[in-house]
Amino acid sequence: MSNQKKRNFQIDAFKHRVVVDPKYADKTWKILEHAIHEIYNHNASGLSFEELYRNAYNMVLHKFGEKLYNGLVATMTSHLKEISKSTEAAQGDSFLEELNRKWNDHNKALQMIRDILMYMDRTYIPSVHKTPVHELGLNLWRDTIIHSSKIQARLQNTLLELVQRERTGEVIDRGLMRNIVKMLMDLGSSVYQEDFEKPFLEVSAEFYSCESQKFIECCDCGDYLKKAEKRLNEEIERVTHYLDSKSEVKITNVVEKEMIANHMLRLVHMENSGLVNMLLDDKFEDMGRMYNLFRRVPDGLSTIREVMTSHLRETGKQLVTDPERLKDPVEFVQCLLDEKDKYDSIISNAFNNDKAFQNALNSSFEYFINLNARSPEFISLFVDDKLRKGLKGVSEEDVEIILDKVMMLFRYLQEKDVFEKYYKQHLAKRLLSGKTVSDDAERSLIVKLKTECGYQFTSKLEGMFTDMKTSHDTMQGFYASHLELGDGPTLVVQVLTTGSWPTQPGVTCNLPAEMSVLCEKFRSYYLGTHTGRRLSWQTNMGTADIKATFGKGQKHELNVSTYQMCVLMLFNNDDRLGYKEIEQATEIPTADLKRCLQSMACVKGKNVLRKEPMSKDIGEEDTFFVNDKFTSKFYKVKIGTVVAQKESEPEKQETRQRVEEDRKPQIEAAIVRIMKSRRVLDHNNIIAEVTKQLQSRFLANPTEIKKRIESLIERDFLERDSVDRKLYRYLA
Amino acid sequence: GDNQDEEGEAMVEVSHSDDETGDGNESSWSMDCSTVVRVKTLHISSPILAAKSPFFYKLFSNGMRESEQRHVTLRINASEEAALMELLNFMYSNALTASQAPQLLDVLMAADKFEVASCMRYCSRQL
Repeated sequence: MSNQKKRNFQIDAFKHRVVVDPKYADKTWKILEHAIHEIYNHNASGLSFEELYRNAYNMVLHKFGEKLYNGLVATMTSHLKEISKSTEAAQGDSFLEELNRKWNDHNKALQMIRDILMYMDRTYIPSVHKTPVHELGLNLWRDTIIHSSKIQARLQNTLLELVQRERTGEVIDRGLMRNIVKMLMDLGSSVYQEDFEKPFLEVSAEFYSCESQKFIECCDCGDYLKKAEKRLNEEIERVTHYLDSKSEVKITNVVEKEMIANHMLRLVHMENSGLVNMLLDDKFEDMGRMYNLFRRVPDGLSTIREVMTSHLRETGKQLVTDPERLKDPVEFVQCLLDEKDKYDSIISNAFNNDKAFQNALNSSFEYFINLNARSPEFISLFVDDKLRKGLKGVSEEDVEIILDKVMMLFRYLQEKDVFEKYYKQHLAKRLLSGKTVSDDAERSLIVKLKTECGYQFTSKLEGMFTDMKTSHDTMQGFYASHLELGDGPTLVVQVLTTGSWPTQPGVTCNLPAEMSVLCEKFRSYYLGTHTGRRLSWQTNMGTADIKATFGKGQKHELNVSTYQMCVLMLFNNDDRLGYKEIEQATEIPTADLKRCLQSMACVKGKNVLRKEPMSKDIGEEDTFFVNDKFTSKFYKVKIGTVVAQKESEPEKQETRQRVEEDRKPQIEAAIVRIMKSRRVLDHNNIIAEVTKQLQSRFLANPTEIKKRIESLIERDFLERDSVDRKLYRYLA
Repeated sequence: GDNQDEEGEAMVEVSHSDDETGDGNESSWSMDCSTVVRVKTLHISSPILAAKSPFFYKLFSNGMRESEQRHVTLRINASEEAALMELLNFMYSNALTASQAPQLLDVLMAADKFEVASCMRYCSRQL
């Protein structure tokens, strides 16, 4: 229906209006041209918008759009030429102000001109693809003024000079700068970029290249970084005040490249003030600044990380190989913990808790801790020291913190099984000597070890705790059934389950008669209640409290080892005894006996014995007698054994051997597991896979793996391929 | 109206060209040589007109003479009068009384002149 209607109506009514006398068009244009002049002359308020709009409308309606448009271009251009002349004439500083003022005028005029030509803008211009009035006004401004030969270079130089003046500390009119820069942006991003941004970046690069050269010659690293940071912030601030926000990345890139990237290596390695010095002196602020600046440039953070890592590895290596440090295992571990704390705090305070830095820290520790084969032993000794005495009066949370730190060191160890071996020995000593300070702390550490090493390891440790409890009950039963023993010496026996404890077979000595009687009574009591068991005495692990009366009647209670007791009891019957006599009477192993005599005759304040000749060491010709003049301000005197807390060289070898022995079945089990699933595998791949499987426990020695493979071949678990001897086959 | 600022008066001067007959239309758009035949005064709401038409928006606000005046004059050709009245009416009510094609065409012309887009769409749909 509507289609029909449309067809009926043509726009005939307009046809006869098309041809209009050009005289009228001229007349109408004159009115509009006059209005444009008036608008530029600030007389717009006297003009009738309705009249001007109607005239422009009529011109377009009657096909004089082109005349109107061309007239506009010509009129506006002539006005802009006037403006250009007056701007060129502006002297010195008033140049920018004049330009800004004229720009504002032009914008206001352009707005009004666009208003009165609204109809042309909407209908005529799109139909003939001409430039809309507003854009036209901007283009004419750009071409007639900004790109005029007398203004273009002058404008650029003026702007760059102002920036330069601001960089050297002068205060400039930022508002004016912002307006002019905004004008360039309004004229199009290419105008801003070509007429300002590009030369700005070039000049800046040159400026910062010179400045950084100057700074690097005369500043230390910390000062240089402060200056670079300041410059960077100034440029960012400049952008927010008067530049296009898109320029921020570009100008900061210039500063970063010129001030940081170009001098990066020289900065980190700067003598007496570079990164190593900052690390040594805990310069958190300087390092934080370095981190924040370097992260902005390619390879910046990896440069810092590499310097930190190599320094840490070097100092760590010195620490763990310094013979002085090895003298005191507790201090050795404390040094490691202090070093770790130091770097943890550097990374959290200065390096933004960066994961990559934490990883570098961990791998460095792993590297140097394992450079010293005694690290596992020392870490266990550290725990031993803490659990013996170090944790008294320390709150539960602090205990946890210390234990957690120890576990962290434990994780760095490659030979975890060695640690376990020592841990078991040290725990046994603590339990048997009643020296453990906190049961809670002991158990807490076992829980932590369980998560790290698995149930197999900790179940034996837990068995040790159970033995202690059972022995307590057994002793109560023993004395309840032997009431006649009330007056004599008291015997406390700890029955240790074989396998749970690091016992040494066959080490025993002759006990004093009083004690061996008691021991026999206990043996028959115990075997009477537990049939089918065997008891053997571990005299090397016991302790004794004995009462002693010295020459002038001074009485003391001495806390000694079982060996020491055996020696001292001999002096109840003899005044003087030679070394050989003592050895014969007690049958204590030579090394232990020497150590035990040394601790009673050569340690000031504990010297309950004297020896001839007087010397620091025990000789086989020495003679011993009771020190009548022994004094102590304490009633109870604890006589420690002179144990090098850490193991002696032969002991160390022995432990090592036991560790190697224990590894054999583990390596074999790994080989069998792998071969069972792979069936056929070549030599190198077995070595690689076994090493990988076991690396959470220890680093398997390839030679040992090879030996285990050979042993398995002998036992018909594996066979060599008949053609390729490097290939092994699993035999089900 | 209760708001003085929003209400205004518009005077519509309707003029005839000297020569009403034949194809004397060549002078019909040049007001200088035409005579005012009728003056009509209307009360209008400038916010409503400004909202519907960029022409009226600028007329009331762009800083030229009319921005300061409470009486604003629109000069139109006699032939445009009916259509303009319809257009003004449309701006208030969104509806037209005209329904015949020639009248609608005149309204469309007027709507185009003053850029009343909603009315242009309305007329186009009706045609």
